[in-house]
Parts: sequence; C-alpha cells; structure tokens
Amino acid sequence: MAAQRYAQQPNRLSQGGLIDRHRGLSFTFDGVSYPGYAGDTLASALLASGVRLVGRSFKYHRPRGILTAGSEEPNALVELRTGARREPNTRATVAELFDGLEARSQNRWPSLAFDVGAINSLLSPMFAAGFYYKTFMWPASFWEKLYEPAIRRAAGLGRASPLADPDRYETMHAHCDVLVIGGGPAGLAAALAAGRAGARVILCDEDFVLGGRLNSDENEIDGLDGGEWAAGAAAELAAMPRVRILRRTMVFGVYDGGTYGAIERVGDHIPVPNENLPRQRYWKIFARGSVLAAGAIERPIVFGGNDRPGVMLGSAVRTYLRRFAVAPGRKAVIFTVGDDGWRTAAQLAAAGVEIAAVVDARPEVAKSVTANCQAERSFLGANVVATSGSRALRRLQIRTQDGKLMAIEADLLCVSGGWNPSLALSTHLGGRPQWSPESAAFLPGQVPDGMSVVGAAGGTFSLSDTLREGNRAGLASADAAGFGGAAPVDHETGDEPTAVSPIWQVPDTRGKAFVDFQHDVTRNDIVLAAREGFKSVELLKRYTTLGMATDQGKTSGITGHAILAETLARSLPQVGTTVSRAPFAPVALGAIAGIHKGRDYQPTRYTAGHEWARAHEARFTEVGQWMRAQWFGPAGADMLKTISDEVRCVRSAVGICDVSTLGKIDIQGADAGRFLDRVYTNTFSTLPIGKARYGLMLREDGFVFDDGTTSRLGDDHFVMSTTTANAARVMQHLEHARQVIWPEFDVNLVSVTEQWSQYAVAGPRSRELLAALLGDAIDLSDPAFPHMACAEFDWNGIPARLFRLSFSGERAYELAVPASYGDAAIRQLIDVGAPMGVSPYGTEAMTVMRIEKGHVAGGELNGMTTAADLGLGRMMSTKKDFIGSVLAKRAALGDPARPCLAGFRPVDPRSRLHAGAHFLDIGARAETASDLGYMTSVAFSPTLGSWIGLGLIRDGAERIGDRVRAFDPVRNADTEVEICNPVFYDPDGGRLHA
Amino acid sequence: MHSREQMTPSPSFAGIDSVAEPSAACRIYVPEAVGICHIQARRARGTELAAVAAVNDIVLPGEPKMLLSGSVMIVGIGPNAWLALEPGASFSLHRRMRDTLGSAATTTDQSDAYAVLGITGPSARTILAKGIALDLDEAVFLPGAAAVTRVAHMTVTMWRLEDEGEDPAFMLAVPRSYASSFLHWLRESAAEFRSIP
Repeated sequence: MAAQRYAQQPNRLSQGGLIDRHRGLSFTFDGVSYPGYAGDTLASALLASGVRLVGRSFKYHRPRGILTAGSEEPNALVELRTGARREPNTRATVAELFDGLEARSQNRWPSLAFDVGAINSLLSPMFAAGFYYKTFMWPASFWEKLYEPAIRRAAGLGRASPLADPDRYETMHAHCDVLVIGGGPAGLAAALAAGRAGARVILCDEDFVLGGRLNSDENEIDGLDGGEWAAGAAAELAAMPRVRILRRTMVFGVYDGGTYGAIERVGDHIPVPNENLPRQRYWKIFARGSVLAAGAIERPIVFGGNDRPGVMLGSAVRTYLRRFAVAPGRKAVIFTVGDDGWRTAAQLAAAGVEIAAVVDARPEVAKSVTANCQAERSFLGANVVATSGSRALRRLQIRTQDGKLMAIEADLLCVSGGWNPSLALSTHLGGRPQWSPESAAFLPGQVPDGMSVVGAAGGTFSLSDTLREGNRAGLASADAAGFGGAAPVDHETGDEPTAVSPIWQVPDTRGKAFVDFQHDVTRNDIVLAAREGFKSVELLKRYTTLGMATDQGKTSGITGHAILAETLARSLPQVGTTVSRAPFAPVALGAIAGIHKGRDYQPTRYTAGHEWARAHEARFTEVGQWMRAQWFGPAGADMLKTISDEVRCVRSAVGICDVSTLGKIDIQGADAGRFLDRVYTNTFSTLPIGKARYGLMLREDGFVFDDGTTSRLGDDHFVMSTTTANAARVMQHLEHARQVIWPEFDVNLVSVTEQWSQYAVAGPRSRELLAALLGDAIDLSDPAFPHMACAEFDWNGIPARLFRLSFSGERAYELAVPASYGDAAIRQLIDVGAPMGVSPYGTEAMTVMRIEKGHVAGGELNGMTTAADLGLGRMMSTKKDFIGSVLAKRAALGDPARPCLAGFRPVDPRSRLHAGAHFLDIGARAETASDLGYMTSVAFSPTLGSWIGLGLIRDGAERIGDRVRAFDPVRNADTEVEICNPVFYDPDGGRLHA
Repeated sequence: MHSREQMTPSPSFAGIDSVAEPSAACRIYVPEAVGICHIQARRARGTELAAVAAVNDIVLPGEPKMLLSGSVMIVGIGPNAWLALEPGASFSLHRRMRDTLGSAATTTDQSDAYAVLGITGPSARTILAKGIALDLDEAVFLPGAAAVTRVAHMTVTMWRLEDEGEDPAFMLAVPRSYASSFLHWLRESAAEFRSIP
C-alpha cells in the first residue's frame, strides 16, 4: 500500500520529512483524487503528486502555482469543502491535509487548464492600474448596467457558501506575563527562558508543528538537528504547568493595554469539527509583555513571467524538501540576491534534484558561499529576465554579467530576494517601520508597549543571534513581570552566511513582471501610478490596489514601495512603507461572533411568568432583551380579533397582564423625596406614604426622557417604575445624578426590577378578584385603598406589594410578589379569576387601551418631544429646579407652532390608519413644506369600532374637529382623518372607580 | 381566600440538570434557596455602619472581597455597597440585616433578583474564562476575591470560595431573568468537557 502511494507521488522523496508515511490520506483537487500523508499541507501533497497549476489570478486569469509554504501565500488560494462548509480563498500552503479533503481551484471558467477569462491578459492595457476609475466612465449608464456586473463576474476571489455556517465558535480569555508570538527558534528560546524563570507564558504559533524554519533548513543546535532541538524545546514547554502552547493559532491583532487577539483553528484540520468543540476559538489575550518572533517572509524578485507555476521562493522549496519530503521540481535554477539562495542549491542537490544553474545578481560572492556548489553552472552579476511554459515553467532566460542572453531548461525556479521581517503586529498601534541599510530591510519602529521583537522579525537572520535574542527577550519580559534572576543561555550553532544585497526588479525584462500576485499588480502599474502623480505609498496602494488583497501584501508591499522609490529616484527611507492593520491574516467572522448568533445574538430575559404564558399559547414579542407576551391565542387564531377580545374582557370583566419588565428602582434615604423632586418635573416630596404619583422625567436638554409612577412606601423609602425600554438608562441617569451632581444628598438607589414579579389586574371586576385572592391580607375597600394607593403587606407569609394604578383606564391594580413566586402568582390569579371571566392580555391589548385613553408611550416618548408637545406642560413645576428645567425654557422648545399631541379618527370608519403617516391640509401638495406632523401610534379600538390614532400635529389643540389627510406614501395610504381629543375613552375617568 | 399551599417558589435555574450532568471536569451546585440582601451605607455613615456591623459580628469588606460572617457571605460590590447572601435563607435575611444594621444602612431584599450557582472542578477556570475576561489565576484571584463583571453580555457578581479539595470553586450570581441565557452560555462553554469520559 505504502509503495503504491509512493508510486503515485512522483515528487515525494523516499525518506525524511515530518510526515507520517504510515498514515496515507486521500483527497481530491478539482475532482481528481490524489494521495498524501498525515503531516502534509494541501500544497505539499499537490506538489508531491506533481500538480503545479492550482489557480487563476484575480484580474488577468493567469495560471498560478504555489509560491510559498506559509500564510503569506498570494497565489494558491482554493475552495475547501462543500455545502455549508465551503470556504473560499483558503491558502493551500496552510491547509492541513485530512482524509477526504475536497478542494477546488478558483477564478476559472470552464476549467483550470482552459480559462476563457485569460483573454484579459491580451486586453491587459485596459486593465492597468486605476482602470476602473478611467476606462468605463462613458456613457455613465453603462457602468451600472454593463461594466460593473461584467467586472464583478470576471474578478472576485472564490464563492462564499450561501448556507448558514453549521459550526460552533467560542471565545476564550487568557492572561499571561509573556506572550510569545511565533514558535520558531527565537520564539522557542524566548518561551523557554520565560517559562524556566517561572513566568506565565502563552506561546502562539500559526503552524501545526513548532519549530518554524528549524524544520525547513539544515541547522544544528547544541549538536542536535534543528528540528530535533525544536521538538525537545516543545516537549519541555509542554511539561511546564504555567506555559500554554497554542498551535494553529494566529495572533491577528494588537490592541491597547497589552490586549492581543488570536484565532485558534481547533477543527479545521479534520473533516468535520468534533461536535463538542468549536471549529475555531477566538482568544483575547491580556499580556504584561510580549515577544514578537514572527520570523521573516522571503521576497520575490520582479522579472518577466515571475508568476509562472514552477517559480517559487527558495525558502519555500527548502520547506517542501525537508519538512514534507517533496521535491517541487526535477531540474532547478536558483535566482538569488544573497547567500540564502546557495543554501537552497545545496539542499536541493542533497535531495537529488539537478541544479541547472545558480544565478546570483551580485557580481561578487564570498568564496565560502560558492564553494561546494553542485550546480552545473553558476552566474554572478546575472539576472533571470523571462520565463516560458504554457501552464508551468519549462524554460527561462538569463542575462549574464556581460549582457548575453542565455536560455536554460528548468521546471523549478527558486527565487531568493532577501527577507522582509514579519513585523505587521509591531505596527498595529501606529509604529512605522524604519529602513535599515545594514539588514537591507524595514525593521520595527516604535513598537507597542511591552513588546520586544526578536530574531528574523527584528532583522536578525543568523541562528545563533536569533536564539540569543529570543532568550534575552524572554528573560527580560519575565523579569519585568517579577520573575527575574534566571541566567542567560547561549546555544552552539553552526552559523550560516546571511549576506544580501537586494535588487527589487530586473531591468529590461520581457513579459508581465508581477509585484502583487494576488491583486495582479505589475511593475508597470507602479511606474504608471508614479507617472500619474500617485507618489506616496498610501496613494500608490489605493490607486493600484497594491497590498490590498487578503494577503495584505506580505510578499509584495515593500517590493512595490522600492520600485516606486526607484521610479521617483528617491531612497527607500524617503518613500517609506505602509503600516498594517488587524487582522494579520483573514479571520472568519463567525469566530469573532462566537456563540452570539441567531437567538443568542444577545441574551434574552424571561419573566417569572414566561413558562405559564408559553403554556397558555402566548405569542411573544421582543422588547429590548425581554420576551413579553404580545397576545394569547391558539395556532390559527385571528390576531386582531383576539386582541379585541382581550380588550373587551378588560373593559367588561377583568384581565391580567405581566408588567414585570417595567423598570423598578428602590430609592431610600432622608433626601429621597428631595432627590425625586430634582429628577422629575413634578413634585414628589409632598407625596403621602401609601400613595403613588405619575411622574415625568426630562433629559438635561429639556426633552422628555421617561415617565412612570413612583410610590411612597415609607418616610424615606420610594419605589420608582420606569418604562421597559428605558429601565437601564434611567438607572444610570439617577446614579449619575446621585453620585456626581448631588453627592451631598442622602439617597441610595438599587434596581429591584429582577426581584419583583408584577401583574396588572385590570377591569371592573379586578377588586373582586384580588379580594378573593388576598383575603384579609389587605383591605381593598375604596376608602382604605383608593385610586393611586399603594401598600406593602404579608400575603401567606411572603412579602407582597399592591399598587392601585391604571394604564388601561379601568379600575386596576398591580400586584407584586418576589420573582420566585411569580409563576405561582399568575396561576392563582387566573384560577381565582375564572368565575369572574378573567383572561390574560398581552402588550397589544395594553397598547390598544392606552391609545384609547390617550396615554403616551414609546411612539410619543421618542426623545424629540417636550412635555408641552405631549399635553403634559402643566406637570412642569415652576416652584423647583429639576433636571432639564433650564434647557426646556429655550424659545424653540416653547414655540407654539411645535406639533402637539392630538387624537385622530378616520372620517370613513372603515379606513385603516398607519403610524408614520404625515399630516397634510386637504388640498395641500404632498411635500415637506406642507408637513403638519405625523401619526405616532395607531390601534383598532374594539370599544369605538374603528381605527384610532395618536399623533403630533401643528396647532393640534386649536384644530379639534378639523379634517386633514394622513398621507403615507410608504404603504400607499392617503386617509382623511378628523383631529380629536386624544382621550377617546372615558375622558372623565369614571371607569377608574367603577 | 385562596389556599396557601399552592404558593410554592420556582427555581431560578430551570433546566440546570442538563448542565450539571456528572463530569470529571466540572460540577455545578445550585442552592435550593438563597437569602440575598443588598446593603448600602447611608451618606457619610460608612464608619458608623462598620462599627454597628462589627458589634453584631458582621464584617463588611472594604474592597471587592467575600468575607464570611457566620453563615452569611458578604461580598463587596462597590464603594459602600455589599451583597449579603445566606444559602437556605430567604427574605428573612433582609429583615434580619435591616433590623441589625439600623439606620446607618439602607437594605433591600434581593433574594429573588439573582440566580446563584457554584461551580467547581479541574476545568472550572477554563469554562469561566470563555465568558469572563478577568484573570482567574489561582495566584491572582485568591479565595475570597470578588468581582462584578460581564459574562457573554450579562452582568455577573462572582467570588472565589475555598478550594474543593484540589479544585477551585467559584460562586456566581446572575440577574434572575438572564438565568436561561446564562445556562445556555454555560452549557456551550462546558461542551468540550462532555467528551471526556
């Protein structure tokens, strides 16, 4: 079996690699089945089987292969999985292989090998930088109808699944002394140092195997193979109880105060995530210090045809060779600007790959570097100028130092353009990278507080220096957290040469020379942008889209900036480079949302009577986070008729409504009454004990904030009720007043919304019901307990409160019991009320009744109305100061032309009204200048037998009896209505005592 | 008058059993009843209140801590504000506190305002860390430490108890109306440990 698999993997080396040759896997790419091994990535397995063409490019649909072996990959973006788990734009270089993996190429039609869109390559003069700004401007209508849809179809990256994400995600918080970002040699050294010192350490590594380039390069540390040393370090760290290793975890952002965001890919490497585990876990890490050891990203070089499949980064080739035991080609050419390329040559030769040539752009290279080179030929001061091969590399052309052009046959071109420190995370809080001539690289500038940057991420490329820096940074970071005293450790390594003198582009090349592979930005695009005046890196980026693809320009940004500098004849430090933003690499939105999706988008609050209501066919509505019973009826019941029945029941007998969601605030202290006088427009200090009063609250700006009743339970004890919607805001407002505005007041506040279940018992038979229920616990005779009375009493041994308040306009009470008795209380109220014809009613019936009574609520208390607008001007005390009193006196707020509250009924009683309709004089044009106001609330009144409404209309009080249009273009309604008194029902209030 | 037998309280955590299934990773304890009293010092009378409390063997911690006064847990939840909790009690705790602390304090019965649970087990910290941003490390959040914080967009008052053997133990109080959403969060957060035999 194993032999057979080997036979199917022509590029798999017979030995070596961190793969498990006993665990063969099978996967498909574009429907063709391929073998691979556990430990492979999709990219390494494709290369092992000789697949080189894996995608088409974004704009020109050019054939593309695998460029890198890491998360910086700009080319090999594929669609993974199918159905709801289909995920586009997955980098094949980081996708761990699993058995049954299904992958497809993107951006091709009808097939990868023959793609119609490749014609764009021939039209490329049209698709140059900024083409969408200038090519399609005329005629304007063509843009929307023709060009944009066509471009959208041709471009874009992959297809998202239209189905709901079936997987779970979760959030995790973690704290540590030292966060180490990157598990290569520098990161391992830092984590070991900090861990041995006793600090709490979190080590995050994107990869599924720790070690970074130690698993890719020939190295020796303290006499051990680099990979073995890394495995030993990982084992030691794993055994430390205060060290947490997070593999497959990408730190994607740095935030203020030592906060870091990371994504752990918990279940992406298995076909279907474990049902008890999330697919991905979002880590919020709070670190006292951090060590950025993210390594470096090798630079491509810009020359004609540098995007052809078979052109790869040299470091990636070494990774495929050593870590995955895959030779990505049979005959290789190395194109390098530094010593690093010669290492690639040596490693390839050792693996048995023929080295056709080493092409070093430097005219002089140290003998120690070129010695022992097993290439057939080597060229100094030479460049690769062109490549050919229809779907993958077959031949390339070089220009030698003396200017001669020469063709070389090869199927693999390993490019080494030097290294860019992976410093993106160091720039998230604004630090600008600085150019270092010594390192020939941009290095981190001002780094976030508490962060140190070590190893290649900081421009240190030799292994011994990297290990030393990691160790020292780990020690320092632990010391800063109080874990000092540990001795520094140095390691014995063979030191490899690291000299480099970068060239960014090869002059006079043939064919398209790509800078940004993912966004198809070429060298000529940058030259064009410079010529057209886009001379800063930020403008260049936006004009050409350089570095704006999902890879954020990891392999292209700095090269593009360097070409801009050369074009403008400026130095690279003068031109500078861009800073990056989070996320470092793409993050699934589901991972950020965690469990908060669908029903769990926000928490839901349930009243104690919820289960009872559910069992009695309540239809619920969301009021903020609360679920409230909207109306009660079996499946198929007519909503309007049921609501009308609920209203009639209250008006003729008795109904029960759960009002527990209203805010309740306990107010105690010697200054409680005085405090209430300051926060309400009307006076409460004079309220007798055992009485309730309606109160109106303004915001500081003089507009109405909230309303409700406040009851006096004792000399220095009140309980306030607020609207459901404003409960938390009122509590904040009062706490602010108490703590900040009048700290001298002796008053304490506490929310008791959760403590009490409260039921409105409304209707002419409400007293009868409560008397039967409460018995001799309280005297309910009208002289003892009149309208607006309140009392605390013991009922069957539990504390209870009763308020005689009415929102419906009928005789009504509100009974409050501790919430644990809320369920029992509603059952008893309904049981005891059965002989009296009791019915529960929901928020709809409540709304109908309050509109019949002209009581204002959410539609009118909309933050834009004054007390006078609502007909409550008489509640504005002139004898005392209160919040909002000063700004309420602004002339505009007292303008008699302001729309004010009125009632409305349709002239034709069969007409329906709509909230939101605007009022116009009969015959006036439907335009803003004619607008008189608008309808705020409507209901069908079973009591009056027609629709009724409340609204705000100019000169409303003087126009009672006039007719206007209620014009509602949104619902195509235009209804003639009569302005009337907002109190439609029982204007004298006699029903309160019936 | 209606029969009093039917007035039985309902549990704040309905459906807790499905979360509290026996697991090596975490165990959940829900007290049958808890008396809870919110206590605040009257303005400028904090010292007087502390003296009155001390006379009655009650310690009101001056920082975010839980201290035991007999069987009553007293948790500092803000400047001059405390939550007193007594498992097995009810509104009787409020009446006792009101009578004991006198006029230097305002007291409010909150016995039914919170759903209270204890959580312990080797994975208790990991489970809590999925919703709570605070550092619950054993050397940082010591036994007796308390906090008013957020869990999955809900307010939670929490404190650490003495360890249960080797395992850390915490007590959490969430507003009662959120009990169901809190349980959902807890169930999701404990899910990964269901797979442990």
